[in-house]
Amino acid sequence: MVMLVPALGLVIGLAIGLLVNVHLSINDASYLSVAILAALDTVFGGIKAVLSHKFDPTTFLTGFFSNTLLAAVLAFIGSLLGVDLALAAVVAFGVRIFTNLGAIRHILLERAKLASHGD
Amino acid sequence: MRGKRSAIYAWTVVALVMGVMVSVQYHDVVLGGTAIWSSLPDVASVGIRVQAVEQVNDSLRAQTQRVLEETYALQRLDLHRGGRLAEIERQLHAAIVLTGLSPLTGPGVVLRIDDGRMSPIDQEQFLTHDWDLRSVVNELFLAGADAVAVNNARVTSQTGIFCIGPVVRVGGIRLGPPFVIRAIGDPSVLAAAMDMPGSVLDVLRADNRGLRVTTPVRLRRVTVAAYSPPLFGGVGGDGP
Repeated sequence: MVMLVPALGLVIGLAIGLLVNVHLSINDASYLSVAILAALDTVFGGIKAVLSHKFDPTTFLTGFFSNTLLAAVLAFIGSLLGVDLALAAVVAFGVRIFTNLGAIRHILLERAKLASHGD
Repeated sequence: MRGKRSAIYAWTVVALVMGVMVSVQYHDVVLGGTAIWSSLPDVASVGIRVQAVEQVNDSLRAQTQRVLEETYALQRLDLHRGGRLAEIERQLHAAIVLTGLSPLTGPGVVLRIDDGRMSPIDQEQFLTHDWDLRSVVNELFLAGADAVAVNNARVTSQTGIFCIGPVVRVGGIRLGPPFVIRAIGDPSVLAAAMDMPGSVLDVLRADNRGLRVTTPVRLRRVTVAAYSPPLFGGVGGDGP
């Protein structure tokens, strides 16, 4: 029941984004893409931490915002220098997201095994 | 319990922000926005370069404007002090007046010459001829006119006045009666010269000619048309 609150937050966030007619300039669109990737990475890292009982809200929150911001800032600096750091961020965050997903799967499988042994 | 509440709080905040980011991006992509960066790898940096170039251009434009204003200020100062530039300016103005390249407005006189009534004795005499106009124009220049025009044809140092068949050609422009002659200069001097007893106008008005010639009207503002090259002369000018 309590887990519905973050879900509600997600829905509200989606609604805000859709209702507020923000249009990004051609420059900012790539930064937001990188920022979304960083955010996704942090979210999956958070899920993994929860499952392995290492979750710390402060670390999670600061990690989320700093990763997102830093990713966008790095991509911005990269475009200033003519280095496509956005591409590097896509690769790096992509790898991390899939690693996290793999870890989550492992933990869940482990739990399922333990549960069946418990029976 | 407190740990759990803050965890929920953290997840909610993250979910909210995440939701906004994702939906903004989605909105942009769906609306054919610019989130196609991965297929246009360097769009962002090109955009930044364009902005930078535009900024440089703006600053150069501003600099140009400043330099121009300084130049104009210096020119005005020089003109004000009557320096060399003022002399050049004066000469340029005189040249423009002399060549008739721009219309001129100033005090002057206007008069009108029209053909007379048909005479049974001599049919040629009641027409206005090229030499009639020529003598009036010459008289005006002799009296000190700065600029003279016959109808819309400015008379310059290279303008010839001839009869060609039924019309009079002034420079490249063919004219028919009535002829309105405008001259810029001291109105009283010009009018006096034209009104002098036995003047050219009197000769034209004489019984053997009978042309209808008005007395010169003194005006404070007369506008004389600019010289127009034959091809652009409007009324049928086809050559010099």
